[in-house]
Amino acid sequence: MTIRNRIKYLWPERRRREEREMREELGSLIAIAGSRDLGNLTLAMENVRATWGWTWLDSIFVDIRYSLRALGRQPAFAAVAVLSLALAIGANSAIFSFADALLLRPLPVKNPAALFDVGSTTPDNSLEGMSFPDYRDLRDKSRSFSGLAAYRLTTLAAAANPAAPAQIRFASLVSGNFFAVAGVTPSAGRAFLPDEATPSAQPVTMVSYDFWQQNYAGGRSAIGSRLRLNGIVFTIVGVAPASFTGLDRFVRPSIFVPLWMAQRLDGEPADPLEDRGRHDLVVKGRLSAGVSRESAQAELAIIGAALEREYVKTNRNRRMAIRTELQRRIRQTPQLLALVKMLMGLVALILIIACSNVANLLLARSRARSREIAIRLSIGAGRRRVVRQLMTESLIVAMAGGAAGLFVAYGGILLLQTLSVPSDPPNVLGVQLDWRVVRFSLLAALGSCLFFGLAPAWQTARTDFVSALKAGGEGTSGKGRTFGRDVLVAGQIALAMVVLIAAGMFLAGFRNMLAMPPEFRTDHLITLDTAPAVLHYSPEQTKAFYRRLVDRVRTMPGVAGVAMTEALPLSPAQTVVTVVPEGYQFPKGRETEVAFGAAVDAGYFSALNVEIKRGRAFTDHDRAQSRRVAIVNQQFAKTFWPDQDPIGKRIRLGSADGPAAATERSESVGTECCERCAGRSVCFKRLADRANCPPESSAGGRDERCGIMDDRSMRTPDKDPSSHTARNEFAEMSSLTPCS
Amino acid sequence: MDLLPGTLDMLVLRTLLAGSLHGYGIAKNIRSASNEALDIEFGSLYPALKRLEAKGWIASAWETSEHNRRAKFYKLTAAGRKRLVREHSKWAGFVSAVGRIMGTLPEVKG
Repeated sequence: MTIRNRIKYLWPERRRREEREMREELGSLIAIAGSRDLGNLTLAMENVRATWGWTWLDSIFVDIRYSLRALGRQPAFAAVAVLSLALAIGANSAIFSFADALLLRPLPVKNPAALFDVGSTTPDNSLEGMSFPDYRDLRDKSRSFSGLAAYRLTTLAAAANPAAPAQIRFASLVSGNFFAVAGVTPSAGRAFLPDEATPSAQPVTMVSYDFWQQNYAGGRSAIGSRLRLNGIVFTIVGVAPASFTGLDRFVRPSIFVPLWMAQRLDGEPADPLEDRGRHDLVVKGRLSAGVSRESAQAELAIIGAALEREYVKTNRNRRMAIRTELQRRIRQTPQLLALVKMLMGLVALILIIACSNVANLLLARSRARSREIAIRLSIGAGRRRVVRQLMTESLIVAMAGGAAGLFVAYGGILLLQTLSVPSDPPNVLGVQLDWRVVRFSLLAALGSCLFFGLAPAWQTARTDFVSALKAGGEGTSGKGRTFGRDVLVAGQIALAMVVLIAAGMFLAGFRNMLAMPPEFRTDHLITLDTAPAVLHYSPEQTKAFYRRLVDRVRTMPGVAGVAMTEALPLSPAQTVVTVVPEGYQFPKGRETEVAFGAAVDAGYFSALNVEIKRGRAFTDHDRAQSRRVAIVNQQFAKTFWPDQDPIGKRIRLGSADGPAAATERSESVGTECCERCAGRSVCFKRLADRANCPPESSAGGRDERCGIMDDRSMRTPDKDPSSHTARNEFAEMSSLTPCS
Repeated sequence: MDLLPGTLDMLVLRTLLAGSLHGYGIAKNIRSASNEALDIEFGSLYPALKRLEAKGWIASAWETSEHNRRAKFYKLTAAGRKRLVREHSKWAGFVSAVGRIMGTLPEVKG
């Protein structure tokens, strides 16, 4: 039969018509010849139906109808089975969406599997970005990629007009081919043109779909309108589609700007794009057709070696590596991989428990149904056919459980969405109910159907129907059957214990975290982020601004102390510095170590109430002209100078991203007790000497500092008008809103 | 006598060359034309008819029989005729080839 005919017969009405026609024809022949001469007409009709090719479909419908009736007769069984599956599948789907947001979701680009990350690695750091000159050389020399795009994240102050207050927004500085390589078509306007990637062009920008909706209500007039970014007027040329949320997991840039604008936006004296030692670009490449990852890696090795020979100073021991997006993410956040594995493992156990629960119910039910099955077997149904029927029932239960599980998952996802990392502008943890989660739920339902349905169905169909019929409904209740159920129950209890203990341990750990006394004071603190570089302050202006800020805050009523730091303890934005501790024996192949570092002022330790265990705190006499000093925490001292006195030891210190020349020699003068600050850390005094520290020296070329005020008199901030005054004054002084 | 596999379609087409017949008539006709040697089960003939109809080699229509009874009559289509010619030449070639090998049976020493 031709495909076309076959498809015609897919239509049930067509098959019904044929069936009527066939019965009428055979009826007329019986009238002519008598049914004896015609032989087995039932078989003949069955054969004809088989030529239509859809008997299996019909029989599936029959199975489904029969299953629904059977389930309808036992609503309690159906409800319990569906409910337990719904809870388990729902938990799995919610955790899957969490894992998706943390680690697994592919990039929102065309054909994400073909887009690879190209990074540079050194023996000390396998996850470094690339400098623009290195990127440019790679792009021009490489034959393996059909396109190589570079970008870096930053924050910009955006204002639609000079009168409007600026909003701090995440932005992406992108190479000209960024959208072409990503395969993303703007939803309005256009992407950047090739000549807009050159410094001679007018400043143009693209905005995200959300930014467009929020600020322009999705109006066409946004295209061609002006947007002030860090005080520079840009023309909006396009809007990214709603589906494109950038190439990072937790940051969704609102604004896209050509890379060459970096120098002007940050107000830097030298063009950062010409600095080969500045490894802050993320590079993504699409492999050309027919090029394998291995051959691309081989080519990268050759290009990397050539760059190392040519630029020894910046590229010594520097290699290039191609990675999948998932590999990059796992390297970036190995702790998230562990978390995802653990959570997925736990909810998988819950699903197994639910499945054995349902399997147990099915086994109990199969005893009650053995007479029905025996009758079907005795009138000629094949065992295979009976198993299929029973599996259809299981599948219906599983699908209902999966569908109901989506509602449970939705509840869980709403709960997970309340998790947030405090940051300004806000970060996004994209836990959401999308098609990936729906597909996962269906797969989980299908998998669990096989898991809980197959064994009971097979056991039921194995019924010895003669004895089952004789026994009048009791069927065989051999030892094997009850034994199987006992094993299931025992397994269920064992797994439930595992999950219970694991959950208890999590809870206990979490409670300990909360109960642990913070080693610095967190009450009566107001923190404030400032970014004078956004307004293109010169180093002198910045210095004056901070001096004025500190003086004014100190004289405000109710303020007990004020301090400044680059990075607040426990906040997500920590600066990583490379350190070379004096006398420390490095492991083979390494020349530096990394630690969290922050520049702080003299008031920092007293304002935060951090105890200095040994040595002394910073004083106003520690200035740029005097001896360079640093304070390390106990973890740092224990790691690098075990059983030694850290006071008086020396450290070579430099920003992890910075050029090697920027290292400075500091002397450790004290150890603080702050153990919770996520590993070892070192504090160095630099803020008081702003003039010696140009703004671009901090990572990412941005200058963000935190002022911390310890205000012990604000017991009831909501009722005390002075707290509002304090907040308003802050807001006025910096034209930014205070964060908590 | 059992049919060689694949010959039933050809027999049906050949039978309908003489004129249109209903399903039972085709079975009767094959039986009498073969001097009762080929007794075709209606149960296997009927699906074959439906198959040939689906391929467009025969067509069916409700007509009134000689005994004034309504029945579905099958007749050969143009495509069916072409098919029959091809089947026939294939069959004739097959018979002569097999015949040349088998010939008349000589004395076989047991």
